[in-house]
Amino acid sequence: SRSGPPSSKHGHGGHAKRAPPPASPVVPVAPQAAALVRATCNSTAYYDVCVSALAADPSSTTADVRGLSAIAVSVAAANASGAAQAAAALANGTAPLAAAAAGDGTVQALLRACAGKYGDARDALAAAKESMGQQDYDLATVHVSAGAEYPQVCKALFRRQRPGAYPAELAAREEALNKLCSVALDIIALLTSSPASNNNNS
Amino acid sequence: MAAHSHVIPFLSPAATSARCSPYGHRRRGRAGLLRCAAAAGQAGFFTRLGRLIQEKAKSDVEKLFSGFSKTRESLSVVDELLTYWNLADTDRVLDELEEALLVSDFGPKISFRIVDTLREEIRDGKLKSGAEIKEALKRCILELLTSKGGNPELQLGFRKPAVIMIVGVNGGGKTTSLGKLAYRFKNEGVKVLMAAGDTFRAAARDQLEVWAERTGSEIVIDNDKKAKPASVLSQAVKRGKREGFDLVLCDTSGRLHTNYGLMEELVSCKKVIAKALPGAPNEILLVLDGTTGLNMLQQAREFNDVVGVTGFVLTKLDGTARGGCVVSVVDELGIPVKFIGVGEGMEDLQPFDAEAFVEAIFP
Repeated sequence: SRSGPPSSKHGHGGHAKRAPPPASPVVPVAPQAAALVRATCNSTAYYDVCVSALAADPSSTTADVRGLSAIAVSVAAANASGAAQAAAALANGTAPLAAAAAGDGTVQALLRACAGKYGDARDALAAAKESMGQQDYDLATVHVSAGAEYPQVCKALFRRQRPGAYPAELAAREEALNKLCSVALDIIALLTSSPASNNNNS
Repeated sequence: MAAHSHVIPFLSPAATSARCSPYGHRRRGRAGLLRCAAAAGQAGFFTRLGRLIQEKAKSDVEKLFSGFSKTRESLSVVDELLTYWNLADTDRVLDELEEALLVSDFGPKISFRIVDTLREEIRDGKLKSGAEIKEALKRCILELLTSKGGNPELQLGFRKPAVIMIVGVNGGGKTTSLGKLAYRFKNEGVKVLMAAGDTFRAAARDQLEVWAERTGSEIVIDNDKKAKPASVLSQAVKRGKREGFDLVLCDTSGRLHTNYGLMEELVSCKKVIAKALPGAPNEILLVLDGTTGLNMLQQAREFNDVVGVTGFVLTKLDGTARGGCVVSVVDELGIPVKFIGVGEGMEDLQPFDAEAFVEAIFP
């Protein structure tokens, strides 16, 4: 996916840049890029999730903090989209684990509702990406928070109507999405709290 | 179904002296007496204004109906469920009703409570047909909106100028909503002064200037990048008093908790307004983007905790099937919805009417 809009300004600060190793002058980008990812992920609640999510996107090697936040949101959106598809597949009986739900109309209805809610989460994260493109970071925060909140309805429904039937696959996806949204929120917070970002907005 | 003859008025002054104080504020007796005396001369103005806007709202009920078409379509499954309802199917039907409510962003808590209430009434034999269940559902929702929602009328006090602070997340429609409010008031002959209190974003000032020109309103603006929001708003309120404006509409900067210092700016703005005009601001309206669904609750809590919100303006409800969030936000916060945005046009910011809303989503 495309990284955020290019910018000559850097939102991060407070970290001294490391001098490139003298033995490897031809590849100065990699250590600096890795350092930025590590520094950015250090500000998040889920460091490992953050590093693996960002590392999966090649453009993270050249992205600034704003670009990294856009990547994080994109990864979360992809996760939500996958969860929506998984829930729909379970509901339609086309998933391997669907046998358990095949005979239960209620569980199928719940799964369809879940598919809808993960779809809402996906849409919210897409809206967040759009807001970030316009540097509306606070609104992006709202949309990412919404992306994390919609799946809670899915869990609440199962807990209420079929406690034992909440699919492990959805539970895992919910947890992953929650963490990815948390990571995205923490990175976006860097943009809204930095003096450079404020100057950019005025 | 018999039509309700009573429509809650959108705007009117308090009818008794006990309500002379601004919404949510208590005043000592002496101040209250002074305000009562002041009310004698100016209450008529706001009474007439309220009547005119109420009549306008009545004729615009179609806008509300069309604005909630997506939510209505999403909830139309309820009609199908209840048309063929019979007692033996109660649990299945109520489960599916619950899902339909949740899909439309009635929150889990409120959806479960509504369904539990219906289940109990069915079990007790109080509801014997699908039509009766639907009416009970509508009644439940209406009661939630009217009992938890407090007073949906704008509370503009008894002295000119009335002052309204508009707060909300940047990008969420705050400045546009302010502009549409100004347009509505202007059409009723109100002399409006806008205040460009979002001094952090040049775009916000520019946008507000466009709205001022479009609505024929005066505006107080400071183009200095270092201008303090509180200073601009204080100047505006003082000018409003000095020059006899009826209403001052205060734009503000919308920042979330991630930048706590700027959230504190809202507190400063509120304080200087109160200092410039005791009793003001009369209303603090939080603009919430309806497409963010239940996340509105989180925003509402944050702004309410910081500055004290007196009413909601919910926007973009025509663009979403999740209109149930209207009920959720009122139920969770106990704060009334005062306006809803149901379209892009200047006149698509409508005063909120709970009965019309319930009819729009469950015709």
